[in-house]
Amino acid sequence: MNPVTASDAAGFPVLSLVTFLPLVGVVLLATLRGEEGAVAQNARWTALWTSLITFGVSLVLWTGFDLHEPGYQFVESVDWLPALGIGYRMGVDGISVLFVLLATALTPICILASWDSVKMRVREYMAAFLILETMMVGMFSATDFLLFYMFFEGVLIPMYLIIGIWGGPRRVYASIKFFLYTFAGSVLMLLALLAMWRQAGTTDIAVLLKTPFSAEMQFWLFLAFLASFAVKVPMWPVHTWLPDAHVEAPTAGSVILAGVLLKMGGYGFLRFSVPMLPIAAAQFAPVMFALGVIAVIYTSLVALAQQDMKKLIAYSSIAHMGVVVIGIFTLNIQGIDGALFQMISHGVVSAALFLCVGVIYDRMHTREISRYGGLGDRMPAYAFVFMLFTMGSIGLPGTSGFVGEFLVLVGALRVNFWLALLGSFGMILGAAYMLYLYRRIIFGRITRADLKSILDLSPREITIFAPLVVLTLWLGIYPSSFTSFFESSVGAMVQSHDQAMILAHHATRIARATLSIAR
Amino acid sequence: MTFHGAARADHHTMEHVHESPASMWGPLVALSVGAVFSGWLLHALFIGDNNAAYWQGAIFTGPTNHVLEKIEHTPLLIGLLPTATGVLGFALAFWFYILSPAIPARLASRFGPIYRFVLNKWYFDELYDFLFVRPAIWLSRELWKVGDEQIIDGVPNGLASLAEGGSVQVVRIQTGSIAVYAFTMLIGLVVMVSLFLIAR
Repeated sequence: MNPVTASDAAGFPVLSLVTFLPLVGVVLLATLRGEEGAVAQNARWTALWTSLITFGVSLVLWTGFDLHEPGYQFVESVDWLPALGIGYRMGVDGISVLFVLLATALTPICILASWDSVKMRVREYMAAFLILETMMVGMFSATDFLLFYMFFEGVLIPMYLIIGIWGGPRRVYASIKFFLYTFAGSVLMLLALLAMWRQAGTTDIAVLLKTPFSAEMQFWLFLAFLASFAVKVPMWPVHTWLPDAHVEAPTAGSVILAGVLLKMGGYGFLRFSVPMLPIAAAQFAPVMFALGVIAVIYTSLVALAQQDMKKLIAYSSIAHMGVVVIGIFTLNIQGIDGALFQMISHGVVSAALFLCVGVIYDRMHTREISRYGGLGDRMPAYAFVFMLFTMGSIGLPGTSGFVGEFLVLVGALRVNFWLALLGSFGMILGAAYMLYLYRRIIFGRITRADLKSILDLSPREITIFAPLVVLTLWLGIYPSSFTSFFESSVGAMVQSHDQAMILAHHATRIARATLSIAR
Repeated sequence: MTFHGAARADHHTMEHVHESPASMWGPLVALSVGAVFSGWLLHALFIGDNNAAYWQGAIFTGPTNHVLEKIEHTPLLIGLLPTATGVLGFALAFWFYILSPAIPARLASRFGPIYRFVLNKWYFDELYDFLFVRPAIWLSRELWKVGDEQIIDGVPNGLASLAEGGSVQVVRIQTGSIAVYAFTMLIGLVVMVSLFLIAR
């Protein structure tokens, strides 16, 4: 058995540490004893400290990451089932490293956001969030397909519980819908995994990347992956679980769902579908463009009609993810860079928007847009942060949203003019529904008596929003700090894709030539 | 209307009218200096002898595009037109609002349709509302209520209720009564035997 080979950059197995540190917090939570109020308070602090320390450790990835290395870094490898070629392999490259950081950064924010609003079974709630963090980080840093699959499925369990136990009135319907939709797709991915393992003899992603699959096999593998990742993204028409899940989930559940879990689909496309199945990816690209454009226009329009704040933001998330899908399947550098940036930006902005909904939901216990209006008078600080994130969602230059959408549209323009044109409708409609939402909540006069005494942001809420405000502006004003992480990995991916396409082209020509000689 | 003539606001409002503070008129003075003198100050740089050094090719036209040169050769009348309209506007305003303030109201009632057309900004807002806003809102409601809730959600929800309803029906068959089960077996036996006999 091989010893753990930790990466030179950190000198210790940092990825495993970041992945499993939250579980230590869960064990601590399990040992808490005493009366209920004290347990709840201790559970909050334990979870907060655990997630903060995890975030602190994960910063090693930010400082120690070699920007010029396109391959995996901080690699760890232990044999697990050596006879079957399955191992415990961890590592991050430019595509995954920022998602790991996003997950570790959002978890403490989620815990802080649930500080007062979750009153029932606090300890179990915090444990669910820490387990979720383990699953998310493990999913993004696994470099073995089977290990990835286990974390990918594992994410479902804590999220299912968070929606089903601490959710709203229709929580059971929403959580079962969430589970069934995502699980049904994942089963097909498991089949694809088995098929790939049968040919390659291992589930090591690095080996799978070099294994040539036949064009016909790629076709079916792509469909199986699509079934799984399309639900996660979510792509039209398998998106309806998302608005239900968001509406019923507690605020922090929505935050982590929009912030991190929605990125699992796009990450899957970039980790498996595009690099492992280059022929099928190019073949399916027009289908993906069509679905992406439909998602952008259709769900943006549906967002315009919503009367529930969370549902509106949920539909806007689907539209933004449509832009991501378009970007990924342009299969060029700008498009994929843009898709990654859009995912990071959406992770910050939509998470913040759900927190914004949570702020007034905690005060008024309704998400009905028509119950609000004129909040700018009473809540100037809230109006400011809400405005900033609204602009981020619209994609105003200077905020994070602009960079991603711009890069994706540049990439799309290189493929097809109409694709870029239709994709850009999302920005116009985005401005329409977000400004309409903002106007109805913040502007105007206060007409309802109970809003006259509503309080502005508390110090705890300001603490939650401050890092997100900074990130939104940082991403928007100096995107290079983030794009430099994935530029070399994306460059290598696009290059190997182009090479695979040239090879495939030659192969078909040779096959045709032999065919004609044989005749 | 704002500064001249008799006050139209009531006594109470007029009591609150006072000169603006320095923070307001200070910038206004600076801006008015710019408005009056900027042409004189920037003339040399923008269109004077050294303008090529200032612009450094920032304004670029194609080799066949002579629009900038043609502007220079517009007839004198057109050049004077802005000044003339400005003076005319002053005169008209003086006549309408200071000499005989009753005229605008009479004009408005005399040319009612034109007045309302202009007052409502050529009804552009209403036109856009009719052309874009209403169809978009209608479409978005349809996509939500019919597209998402009935069609896309209808399939999984329908499957779920089918499974549920089906199992309720299946449960009904399982009565637990031995007589019914025995009867079913007997019928099955009869069917099997007759099939066997026919087929033979």
